[in-house]
Amino acid sequence: MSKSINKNIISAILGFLGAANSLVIGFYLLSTMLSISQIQSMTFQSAIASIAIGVAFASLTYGSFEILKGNTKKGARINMAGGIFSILIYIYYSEFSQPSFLGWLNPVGITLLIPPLLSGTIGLLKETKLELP
Amino acid sequence: MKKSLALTILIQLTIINLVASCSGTLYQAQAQATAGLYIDPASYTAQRIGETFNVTVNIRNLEASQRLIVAQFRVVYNDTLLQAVGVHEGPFLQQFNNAGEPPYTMFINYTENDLLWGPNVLVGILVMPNSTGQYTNYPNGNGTLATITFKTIYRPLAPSPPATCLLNLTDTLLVGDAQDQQNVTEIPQMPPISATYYAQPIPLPILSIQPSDYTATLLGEIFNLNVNIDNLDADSKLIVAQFRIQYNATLLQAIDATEGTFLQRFPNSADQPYTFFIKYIEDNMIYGPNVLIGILLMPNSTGQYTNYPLGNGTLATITFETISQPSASQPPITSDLVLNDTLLVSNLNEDVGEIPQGTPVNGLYQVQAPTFTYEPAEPSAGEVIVFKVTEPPNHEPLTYSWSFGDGITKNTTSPTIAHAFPSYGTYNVSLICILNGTEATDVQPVTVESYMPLGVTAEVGSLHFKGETAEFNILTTDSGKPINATSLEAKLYFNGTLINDLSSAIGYVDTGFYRIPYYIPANASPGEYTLLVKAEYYSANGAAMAKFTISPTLTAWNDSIAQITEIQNGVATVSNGITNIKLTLTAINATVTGLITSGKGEILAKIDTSLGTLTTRLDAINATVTGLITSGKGEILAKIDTSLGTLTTRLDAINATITEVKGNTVTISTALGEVKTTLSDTQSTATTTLYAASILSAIAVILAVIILLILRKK
Repeated sequence: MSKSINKNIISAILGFLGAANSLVIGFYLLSTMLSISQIQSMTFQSAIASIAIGVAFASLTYGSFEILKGNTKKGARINMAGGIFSILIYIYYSEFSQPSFLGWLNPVGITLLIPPLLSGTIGLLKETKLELP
Repeated sequence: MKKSLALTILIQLTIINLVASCSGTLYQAQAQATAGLYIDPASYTAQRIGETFNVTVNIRNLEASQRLIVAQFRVVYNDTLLQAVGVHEGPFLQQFNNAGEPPYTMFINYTENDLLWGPNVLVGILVMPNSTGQYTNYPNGNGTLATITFKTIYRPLAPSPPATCLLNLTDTLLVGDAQDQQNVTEIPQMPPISATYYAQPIPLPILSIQPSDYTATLLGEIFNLNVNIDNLDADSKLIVAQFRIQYNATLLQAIDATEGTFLQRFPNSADQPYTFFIKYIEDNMIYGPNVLIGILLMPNSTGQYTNYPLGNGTLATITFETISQPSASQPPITSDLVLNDTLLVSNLNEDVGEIPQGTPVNGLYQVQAPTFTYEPAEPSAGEVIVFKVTEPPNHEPLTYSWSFGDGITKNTTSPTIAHAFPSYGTYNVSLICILNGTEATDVQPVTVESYMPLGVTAEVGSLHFKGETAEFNILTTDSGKPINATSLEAKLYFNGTLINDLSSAIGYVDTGFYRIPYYIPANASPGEYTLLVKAEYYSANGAAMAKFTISPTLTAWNDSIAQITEIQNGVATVSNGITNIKLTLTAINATVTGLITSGKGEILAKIDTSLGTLTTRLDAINATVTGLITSGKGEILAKIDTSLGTLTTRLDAINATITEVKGNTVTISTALGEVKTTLSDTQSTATTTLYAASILSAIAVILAVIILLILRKK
């Protein structure tokens, strides 16, 4: 198996892992919002969270598939974008939302965001390295 | 040396033992042979003439080997004290049957008075042989041979000692059947044991006047004296009593005499009269003024007496009237009431005779000057004084002539009279008691103080409530200046009844200023209450009265909802915006029932009480959110603990806001503080998954970096 193929696999796995992580974050956010909705209305927050998580999950899944299909550059960029979007979601629900849903998870929760970013980084690095020789 | 000493001691001990053994044998042999006769009881005391009693003649320590077949004895007695009225065989010899059929014994007795023995009872008992003239069963052991019945016929009179005589058991003979059953032998016997008889003396009855010392207090006083008899014995057989009471006719007048109840209690006739009562109030040459009483106990229809009086009681009651009395300046007058010419007649031996009696107890009569009392004891000028003559319970109507010492005199027949002196000073008040021209006087100085009114003001508020600690204020003044009262009392009345004496609760505040904290009980009746305050400052007096109402509800106090502003030690300070009252929360059954929002947007607790509804700030009742509960409808409610109970409320009512979510724990901030709650199991799973994913991601990233580095080296 060639080196680029191995790296694509790693990048894709990390991308899928990032997608899974976004699902886990989404599951937590939605279940929490659902639980406290009797205390405080969370309808709008839930909708926003659902869409955001859905977008992150879809983009990371799609990017990862693109990497597996060989469209490494495209997939890496999509995963990078998905990873950055996941970071934004995390930062929002950690620091800015009222109440803070993910603040308690810091700093361990940051590890959830690394896989998609690393997926994108690996994908982009591979393209650069192939051009070097 | 030692051996010889031991031998000597051994020989001595042997001799002592032998002597002791022989003595024991001799004693046993003698005990075996010594039957004896005795009388039981060993002594007897008779209390009444005619009383009958039994004595038994007994045999003891009789052995069958002594072969007793005949017993004989005499009981010698004093026939001035006793009469033998019956002799009966005892059961002892009957127990040892030889004859096969009754009679088992032959019992012979004679009650006789012969020259040799004097009055005695002779008894002889023969054990009957069998049909062949033989004995096969000889009596043994202990038992009663005969019973003799005596009757008491005499008792001496006190103070003589008890009469006594010996019931002498003598001429005793015990005959045994010889071994050949042909001859008889006398059985050896112990000396017979006799008995002693006593007859108690008849006590001397005593007549007495009761009360023995009587003091009259007012002219015309009517009083009773009793003539009692004590220590009367039934054997005295009293049938007539007679006596005189001599008295001083210048001091007393005998009004009447009535029979006492004593002799009536011992009827002999079937119908009344049980007695015949005679009285004379006379003044004769021998006895002077006296009351003569004679009482005859009536016999039955046949002229006999069967029931004689005994014990103590009243023979007659004499009614006297006081007809002379000394004045206050004179000493009391005394006089003897003498019992004389006393005679008690008995029916002894069906013949009349005088009963000896003890010295009669006379009475002493005394009469003292009349007296009067007055109230108040320390009167002031202008104050009404009530004078009252000290009167006995029963007296003739008198005229009372009063002279008050200020130039005013009044006559009255009433024992009380009111008078007021116009100015201070000492007045000699005289009382003259007048009865049929006879007078007795009392004079007493009465000191009248100048009038000094004492100002007393009582303030109790107008409206109070059950469970409230009300405060009453008292002010005492003299000439407009506060002064400390020397005596102060406060009493609370409701419906004309004293319900509480608050005198002990009066507390000093400042000069002349006092307060009474009064806790109104939870069960106090609603209505109008009156506080009566009396104060004294030396001789000055004052009083004040104040009224207040106890309302069953707070609506009488304020139509708007009253608010608790403070709670301390279970006592709430309640304000209606104008005044404050203090209510004991337990007494008014205060319970927090909900939350309301005031017009200013403030969350207040709603408190239901027996007086109505109150509100209070939440901090006043230490309201704290302690948790969340889910209602039956699935609604999440806040549970709030307060000093007045627990309540639940919707979260928005206490401005609940989620401030933090940490895992499956949510922190909620409310107007009553923060509360943390744990979310569902699903949330717990989500939290765990999140942690796991984080760790998994970290591992995955590390692996990816490692793999990349490996690939890069290749």
